[in-house]
Amino acid sequence: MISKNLLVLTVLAVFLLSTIPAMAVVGGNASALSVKNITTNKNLTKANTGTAAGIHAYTDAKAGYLQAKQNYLDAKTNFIAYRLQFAERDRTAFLKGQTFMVAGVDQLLKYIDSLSSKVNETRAFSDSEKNDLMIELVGYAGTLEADKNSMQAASTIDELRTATNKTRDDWNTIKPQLKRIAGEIILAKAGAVVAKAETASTKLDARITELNAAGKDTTKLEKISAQVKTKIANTKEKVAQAKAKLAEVKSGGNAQGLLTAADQFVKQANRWMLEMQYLLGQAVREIKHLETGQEGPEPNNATVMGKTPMEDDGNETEDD
Amino acid sequence: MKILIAVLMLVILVAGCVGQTQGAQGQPPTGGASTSALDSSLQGITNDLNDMNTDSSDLSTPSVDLTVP
Repeated sequence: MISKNLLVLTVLAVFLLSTIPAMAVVGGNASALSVKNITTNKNLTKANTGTAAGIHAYTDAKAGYLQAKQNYLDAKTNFIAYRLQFAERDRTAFLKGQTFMVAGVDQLLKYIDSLSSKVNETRAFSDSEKNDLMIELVGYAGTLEADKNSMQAASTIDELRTATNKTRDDWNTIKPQLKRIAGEIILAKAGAVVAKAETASTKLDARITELNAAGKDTTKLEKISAQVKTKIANTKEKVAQAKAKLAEVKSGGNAQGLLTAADQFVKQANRWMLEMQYLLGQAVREIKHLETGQEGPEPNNATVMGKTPMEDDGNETEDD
Repeated sequence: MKILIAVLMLVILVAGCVGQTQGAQGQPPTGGASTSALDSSLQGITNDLNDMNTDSSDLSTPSVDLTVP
Protein backbone atom coordinates (compact mmCIF):
# COMPACT_ATOMS: atom_id res chain seq x y z
CA MET A 1 0.00 0.00 0.00
CA ILE A 2 2.73 2.33 1.02
CA SER A 3 4.81 1.57 -2.04
CA LYS A 4 1.77 2.21 -4.23
CA ASN A 5 1.28 5.63 -2.60
CA LEU A 6 4.98 6.28 -3.00
CA LEU A 7 4.81 5.50 -6.71
CA VAL A 8 1.84 7.82 -7.24
CA LEU A 9 3.54 10.56 -5.23
CA THR A 10 6.78 10.18 -7.16
CA VAL A 11 5.08 10.32 -10.55
CA LEU A 12 3.14 13.41 -9.46
CA ALA A 13 6.27 15.13 -8.17
CA VAL A 14 8.25 14.37 -11.33
CA PHE A 15 5.40 15.72 -13.46
CA LEU A 16 5.12 18.93 -11.49
CA LEU A 17 8.85 19.53 -11.44
CA SER A 18 9.18 18.86 -15.15
CA THR A 19 6.74 21.69 -15.92
CA ILE A 20 8.71 24.34 -14.00
CA PRO A 21 11.27 25.14 -16.74
CA ALA A 22 8.53 25.38 -19.36
CA MET A 23 6.52 27.70 -17.12
CA ALA A 24 9.61 29.83 -16.58
CA VAL A 25 10.11 30.16 -20.35
CA VAL A 26 6.46 31.11 -20.88
CA GLY A 27 6.87 33.73 -18.14
CA GLY A 28 9.93 35.10 -19.95
CA ASN A 29 8.02 35.49 -23.19
CA ALA A 30 5.15 37.18 -21.41
CA SER A 31 7.62 39.66 -19.96
CA ALA A 32 9.10 40.42 -23.38
CA LEU A 33 5.63 40.91 -24.81
CA SER A 34 4.67 43.34 -22.10
CA VAL A 35 7.86 45.36 -22.74
CA LYS A 36 7.00 45.40 -26.42
CA ASN A 37 3.46 46.57 -25.69
CA ILE A 38 4.62 49.34 -23.41
CA THR A 39 7.33 50.62 -25.72
CA THR A 40 5.43 50.41 -29.00
CA ASN A 41 3.68 53.73 -28.55
CA LYS A 42 1.78 54.47 -31.74
CA ASN A 43 1.69 58.20 -31.04
CA LEU A 44 5.45 58.30 -30.80
CA THR A 45 6.12 56.19 -33.86
CA LYS A 46 3.78 58.33 -35.93
CA ALA A 47 4.67 61.64 -34.31
CA ASN A 48 7.00 62.81 -37.03
CA THR A 49 5.55 61.29 -40.14
CA GLY A 50 2.52 63.45 -40.89
CA THR A 51 -0.68 62.32 -42.54
CA ALA A 52 -0.77 61.18 -46.15
CA ALA A 53 -2.95 64.17 -47.02
CA GLY A 54 -0.56 66.52 -45.25
CA ILE A 55 2.45 65.11 -47.07
CA HIS A 56 0.63 65.37 -50.41
CA ALA A 57 -0.27 69.02 -49.70
CA TYR A 58 3.36 69.81 -48.87
CA THR A 59 4.59 68.09 -52.03
CA ASP A 60 2.22 70.24 -54.09
CA ALA A 61 3.16 73.41 -52.21
CA LYS A 62 6.86 72.67 -52.64
CA ALA A 63 6.37 72.11 -56.38
CA GLY A 64 4.52 75.44 -56.56
CA TYR A 65 7.37 77.16 -54.75
CA LEU A 66 10.01 75.68 -57.04
CA GLN A 67 7.98 76.79 -60.09
CA ALA A 68 7.69 80.31 -58.66
CA LYS A 69 11.43 80.32 -58.07
CA GLN A 70 12.03 79.38 -61.71
CA ASN A 71 9.57 82.08 -62.87
CA TYR A 72 11.48 84.61 -60.79
CA LEU A 73 14.80 83.59 -62.33
CA ASP A 74 13.32 83.77 -65.84
CA ALA A 75 11.83 87.22 -65.13
CA LYS A 76 15.18 88.34 -63.81
CA THR A 77 16.94 87.18 -66.97
CA ASN A 78 14.34 88.97 -69.13
CA PHE A 79 14.72 92.16 -67.13
CA ILE A 80 18.52 92.29 -67.04
CA ALA A 81 18.65 92.80 -70.82
CA TYR A 82 16.43 95.88 -70.42
CA ARG A 83 18.11 97.31 -67.33
CA LEU A 84 19.56 100.36 -69.11
CA GLN A 85 16.29 101.13 -70.92
CA PHE A 86 14.49 100.85 -67.57
CA ALA A 87 16.56 103.70 -66.20
CA GLU A 88 15.58 105.68 -69.30
CA ARG A 89 11.91 105.04 -68.46
CA ASP A 90 11.28 102.88 -71.50
CA ARG A 91 7.75 101.39 -71.27
CA THR A 92 8.69 97.82 -72.26
CA ALA A 93 11.59 97.87 -69.83
CA PHE A 94 9.29 99.14 -67.08
CA LEU A 95 6.87 96.26 -67.63
CA LYS A 96 9.70 93.74 -67.56
CA GLY A 97 11.00 95.29 -64.36
CA GLN A 98 7.54 95.19 -62.83
CA THR A 99 7.15 91.54 -63.83
CA PHE A 100 10.51 90.77 -62.24
CA MET A 101 9.60 92.46 -58.94
CA VAL A 102 6.19 90.80 -58.80
CA ALA A 103 7.75 87.41 -59.57
CA GLY A 104 10.07 87.95 -56.60
CA VAL A 105 7.15 88.49 -54.24
CA ASP A 106 5.31 85.55 -55.79
CA GLN A 107 8.27 83.39 -54.88
CA LEU A 108 8.14 84.63 -51.28
CA LEU A 109 4.40 83.93 -51.11
CA LYS A 110 4.88 80.41 -52.45
CA TYR A 111 7.61 79.84 -49.90
CA ILE A 112 5.21 80.85 -47.12
CA ASP A 113 2.66 78.49 -48.66
CA SER A 114 5.09 75.56 -48.54
CA LEU A 115 6.15 76.48 -45.00
CA SER A 116 2.48 76.49 -43.94
CA SER A 117 2.00 73.03 -45.44
CA LYS A 118 5.06 71.79 -43.60
CA VAL A 119 3.76 73.19 -40.31
CA ASN A 120 0.43 71.51 -40.97
CA GLU A 121 1.94 68.09 -41.70
CA THR A 122 4.35 68.18 -38.74
CA ARG A 123 2.65 65.97 -36.18
CA ALA A 124 5.27 66.77 -33.59
CA PHE A 125 3.41 70.09 -33.18
CA SER A 126 0.29 70.22 -31.03
CA ASP A 127 -2.88 71.58 -32.63
CA SER A 128 -2.48 74.74 -30.58
CA GLU A 129 1.10 75.26 -31.78
CA LYS A 130 0.04 74.66 -35.37
CA ASN A 131 -2.81 77.13 -35.01
CA ASP A 132 -0.56 79.88 -33.63
CA LEU A 133 2.01 79.36 -36.38
CA MET A 134 -0.62 79.31 -39.12
CA ILE A 135 -2.14 82.57 -37.88
CA GLU A 136 1.31 84.12 -37.93
CA LEU A 137 2.03 82.86 -41.45
CA VAL A 138 -1.32 84.07 -42.77
CA GLY A 139 -0.45 87.52 -41.40
CA TYR A 140 2.91 87.57 -43.20
CA ALA A 141 1.33 86.36 -46.44
CA GLY A 142 -1.31 89.09 -46.16
CA THR A 143 1.36 91.78 -45.81
CA LEU A 144 3.29 90.54 -48.84
CA GLU A 145 0.11 90.07 -50.86
CA ALA A 146 -0.76 93.74 -50.24
CA ASP A 147 2.78 94.71 -51.29
CA LYS A 148 2.40 92.69 -54.47
CA ASN A 149 -0.87 94.46 -55.27
CA SER A 150 0.86 97.82 -54.86
CA MET A 151 3.60 96.71 -57.25
CA GLN A 152 1.06 95.56 -59.80
CA ALA A 153 -0.88 98.83 -59.47
CA ALA A 154 2.24 100.93 -60.07
CA SER A 155 2.14 102.75 -63.41
CA THR A 156 5.43 104.63 -63.14
CA ILE A 157 8.98 103.81 -62.10
CA ASP A 158 8.61 106.00 -59.03
CA GLU A 159 5.45 104.20 -57.93
CA LEU A 160 7.11 100.85 -58.55
CA ARG A 161 10.17 101.96 -56.60
CA THR A 162 8.04 103.08 -53.65
CA ALA A 163 6.10 99.82 -53.64
CA THR A 164 9.28 97.76 -53.96
CA ASN A 165 11.04 99.61 -51.14
CA LYS A 166 8.04 98.97 -48.87
CA THR A 167 8.10 95.28 -49.87
CA ARG A 168 11.82 95.03 -49.13
CA ASP A 169 11.36 96.57 -45.68
CA ASP A 170 8.48 94.19 -44.94
CA TRP A 171 10.46 91.20 -46.16
CA ASN A 172 13.46 92.12 -44.03
CA THR A 173 11.14 92.11 -41.01
CA ILE A 174 9.32 88.92 -41.98
CA LYS A 175 12.29 86.85 -43.12
CA PRO A 176 13.87 86.29 -39.67
CA GLN A 177 10.51 85.15 -38.34
CA LEU A 178 10.13 82.67 -41.21
CA LYS A 179 13.61 81.36 -40.45
CA ARG A 180 12.51 81.03 -36.84
CA ILE A 181 9.38 79.08 -37.81
CA ALA A 182 11.40 76.78 -40.08
CA GLY A 183 13.77 76.27 -37.15
CA GLU A 184 10.85 75.43 -34.86
CA ILE A 185 9.77 72.74 -37.34
CA ILE A 186 13.24 71.21 -37.28
CA LEU A 187 13.35 71.35 -33.47
CA ALA A 188 9.89 69.80 -33.15
CA LYS A 189 11.11 66.93 -35.30
CA ALA A 190 14.29 66.65 -33.25
CA GLY A 191 12.09 66.41 -30.15
CA ALA A 192 10.18 63.53 -31.75
CA VAL A 193 13.46 61.77 -32.57
CA VAL A 194 14.56 62.16 -28.94
CA ALA A 195 11.27 60.65 -27.75
CA LYS A 196 11.75 57.68 -30.06
CA ALA A 197 15.34 57.29 -28.92
CA GLU A 198 14.24 57.23 -25.27
CA THR A 199 11.76 54.47 -26.13
CA ALA A 200 14.48 52.58 -27.98
CA SER A 201 16.82 53.00 -25.01
CA THR A 202 14.19 51.44 -22.73
CA LYS A 203 13.78 48.54 -25.15
CA LEU A 204 17.54 48.10 -25.28
CA ASP A 205 17.80 47.94 -21.50
CA ALA A 206 14.99 45.37 -21.35
CA ARG A 207 16.74 43.22 -23.94
CA ILE A 208 20.03 43.47 -22.05
CA THR A 209 18.27 42.19 -18.93
CA GLU A 210 16.84 39.26 -20.88
CA LEU A 211 20.17 38.37 -22.47
CA ASN A 212 21.92 38.67 -19.14
CA ALA A 213 19.41 36.29 -17.54
CA ALA A 214 20.11 33.86 -20.38
CA GLY A 215 23.77 33.85 -19.42
CA LYS A 216 25.04 36.03 -22.28
CA ASP A 217 27.90 38.50 -21.93
CA THR A 218 26.20 41.90 -22.20
CA THR A 219 29.20 44.05 -21.26
CA LYS A 220 29.43 45.63 -24.71
CA LEU A 221 25.68 46.30 -24.85
CA GLU A 222 25.69 47.90 -21.40
CA LYS A 223 28.46 50.27 -22.52
CA ILE A 224 26.50 51.17 -25.66
CA SER A 225 23.34 51.71 -23.60
CA ALA A 226 25.16 54.18 -21.33
CA GLN A 227 26.54 56.04 -24.37
CA VAL A 228 23.09 56.23 -25.96
CA LYS A 229 21.71 57.81 -22.77
CA THR A 230 24.51 60.39 -22.82
CA LYS A 231 23.81 61.25 -26.47
CA ILE A 232 20.10 61.63 -25.73
CA ALA A 233 20.85 63.97 -22.82
CA ASN A 234 23.25 66.01 -24.97
CA THR A 235 20.69 66.28 -27.76
CA LYS A 236 17.98 67.44 -25.36
CA GLU A 237 20.29 70.10 -23.99
CA LYS A 238 21.13 71.48 -27.45
CA VAL A 239 17.50 71.37 -28.60
CA ALA A 240 16.47 73.32 -25.48
CA GLN A 241 19.21 75.90 -26.09
CA ALA A 242 18.16 76.33 -29.73
CA LYS A 243 14.50 76.70 -28.71
CA ALA A 244 15.43 79.40 -26.22
CA LYS A 245 17.24 81.36 -28.95
CA LEU A 246 14.28 81.07 -31.33
CA ALA A 247 11.93 82.23 -28.58
CA GLU A 248 14.06 85.37 -28.28
CA VAL A 249 13.77 85.95 -32.03
CA LYS A 250 9.99 85.82 -31.68
CA SER A 251 10.06 88.35 -28.85
CA GLY A 252 12.06 90.83 -30.93
CA GLY A 253 15.69 90.19 -30.04
CA ASN A 254 18.66 90.69 -32.37
CA ALA A 255 17.41 88.25 -34.98
CA GLN A 256 20.57 87.57 -36.96
CA GLY A 257 22.77 86.83 -33.94
CA LEU A 258 20.10 84.68 -32.30
CA LEU A 259 19.42 82.71 -35.49
CA THR A 260 23.14 82.07 -35.95
CA ALA A 261 23.34 80.77 -32.38
CA ALA A 262 20.26 78.59 -32.89
CA ASP A 263 21.77 77.28 -36.12
CA GLN A 264 24.91 76.18 -34.25
CA PHE A 265 22.88 74.46 -31.49
CA VAL A 266 20.79 72.60 -34.08
CA LYS A 267 23.92 71.40 -35.86
CA GLN A 268 25.36 70.19 -32.54
CA ALA A 269 22.08 68.44 -31.69
CA ASN A 270 22.12 66.82 -35.10
CA ARG A 271 25.64 65.52 -34.49
CA TRP A 272 24.56 63.95 -31.17
CA MET A 273 21.51 62.41 -32.84
CA LEU A 274 23.61 60.90 -35.61
CA GLU A 275 25.95 59.37 -33.02
CA MET A 276 22.95 58.12 -31.03
CA GLN A 277 21.46 56.52 -34.16
CA TYR A 278 24.81 54.91 -34.97
CA LEU A 279 25.10 53.48 -31.44
CA LEU A 280 21.57 52.07 -31.51
CA GLY A 281 22.45 50.41 -34.82
CA GLN A 282 25.53 48.87 -33.22
CA ALA A 283 23.40 47.68 -30.29
CA VAL A 284 20.95 45.91 -32.60
CA ARG A 285 23.87 44.34 -34.41
CA GLU A 286 25.43 43.12 -31.16
CA ILE A 287 22.10 41.70 -29.94
CA LYS A 288 21.68 39.75 -33.16
CA HIS A 289 25.24 38.54 -32.78
CA LEU A 290 24.49 37.26 -29.27
CA GLU A 291 21.28 35.63 -30.49
CA THR A 292 22.69 33.90 -33.56
CA GLY A 293 26.45 33.85 -33.05
CA GLN A 294 26.89 35.51 -36.46
CA GLU A 295 28.12 38.98 -37.36
CA GLY A 296 25.35 40.94 -39.09
CA PRO A 297 25.77 43.69 -41.72
CA GLU A 298 26.60 47.23 -40.68
CA PRO A 299 23.35 49.18 -40.10
CA ASN A 300 22.40 52.13 -42.31
CA ASN A 301 23.50 55.52 -41.07
CA ALA A 302 21.30 58.63 -41.22
CA THR A 303 22.29 61.46 -43.54
CA VAL A 304 24.34 64.34 -42.20
CA MET A 305 22.57 67.68 -41.94
CA GLY A 306 23.71 70.28 -44.46
CA LYS A 307 22.35 73.82 -44.36
CA THR A 308 19.81 74.69 -41.67
CA PRO A 309 16.92 77.12 -42.29
CA MET A 310 18.37 79.48 -39.68
CA GLU A 311 21.71 79.82 -41.42
CA ASP A 312 22.83 83.32 -42.38
CA ASP A 313 22.52 83.65 -46.15
CA GLY A 314 24.25 87.01 -46.42
CA ASN A 315 22.57 90.11 -47.80
CA GLU A 316 18.87 90.12 -46.94
CA THR A 317 17.74 91.25 -50.37
CA GLU A 318 20.30 90.08 -52.87
CA ASP A 319 19.89 86.85 -54.77
CA ASP A 320 22.53 84.14 -54.24
CA MET B 1 9.39 4.01 5.49
CA LYS B 2 8.41 7.65 6.11
CA ILE B 3 12.06 8.60 6.20
CA LEU B 4 12.62 6.79 2.93
CA ILE B 5 9.73 8.72 1.29
CA ALA B 6 11.04 12.04 2.65
CA VAL B 7 14.54 11.33 1.32
CA LEU B 8 13.13 10.31 -2.04
CA MET B 9 11.07 13.51 -2.27
CA LEU B 10 14.12 15.58 -1.38
CA VAL B 11 16.19 13.90 -4.10
CA ILE B 12 13.47 14.49 -6.67
CA LEU B 13 13.16 18.12 -5.61
CA VAL B 14 16.90 18.75 -5.88
CA ALA B 15 17.06 16.98 -9.21
CA GLY B 16 14.17 19.09 -10.46
CA CYS B 17 15.83 22.34 -9.41
CA VAL B 18 19.10 21.37 -11.07
CA GLY B 19 17.24 20.44 -14.22
CA GLN B 20 15.43 23.76 -14.22
CA THR B 21 18.64 25.73 -13.89
CA GLN B 22 20.33 23.79 -16.64
CA GLY B 23 17.25 24.11 -18.80
CA ALA B 24 17.17 27.86 -18.42
CA GLN B 25 20.87 28.18 -19.28
CA GLY B 26 20.48 25.93 -22.27
CA GLN B 27 17.61 27.97 -23.71
CA PRO B 28 18.50 30.21 -26.63
CA PRO B 29 18.02 33.87 -25.63
CA THR B 30 14.33 34.50 -26.14
CA GLY B 31 12.99 37.92 -27.17
CA GLY B 32 13.24 37.89 -30.94
CA ALA B 33 10.11 40.05 -30.84
CA SER B 34 11.70 42.65 -28.59
CA THR B 35 14.83 42.71 -30.77
CA SER B 36 12.59 43.23 -33.78
CA ALA B 37 10.78 46.06 -31.97
CA LEU B 38 14.11 47.71 -31.18
CA ASP B 39 15.15 47.30 -34.81
CA SER B 40 11.88 48.99 -35.90
CA SER B 41 12.51 51.87 -33.51
CA LEU B 42 15.97 52.30 -34.97
CA GLN B 43 14.54 52.35 -38.49
CA GLY B 44 11.99 54.97 -37.43
CA ILE B 45 14.73 57.14 -35.94
CA THR B 46 16.86 56.79 -39.09
CA ASN B 47 13.93 57.78 -41.31
CA ASP B 48 13.04 60.75 -39.11
CA LEU B 49 16.61 62.01 -39.11
CA ASN B 50 16.79 61.72 -42.88
CA ASP B 51 13.47 63.57 -43.25
CA MET B 52 14.58 66.23 -40.80
CA ASN B 53 17.77 66.84 -42.74
CA THR B 54 15.89 67.04 -46.04
CA ASP B 55 13.44 69.54 -44.51
CA SER B 56 16.32 71.51 -43.13
CA SER B 57 17.62 72.15 -46.63
CA ASP B 58 14.19 72.55 -48.26
CA LEU B 59 12.98 75.17 -45.80
CA SER B 60 15.79 77.65 -46.32
CA THR B 61 14.24 81.04 -46.99
CA PRO B 62 14.50 82.35 -50.56
CA SER B 63 16.71 85.26 -51.49
CA VAL B 64 15.19 87.81 -53.84
CA ASP B 65 16.47 91.04 -55.32
CA LEU B 66 13.98 93.74 -54.34
CA THR B 67 15.84 96.74 -55.66
CA VAL B 68 14.54 98.95 -58.43
CA PRO B 69 17.51 100.29 -60.42
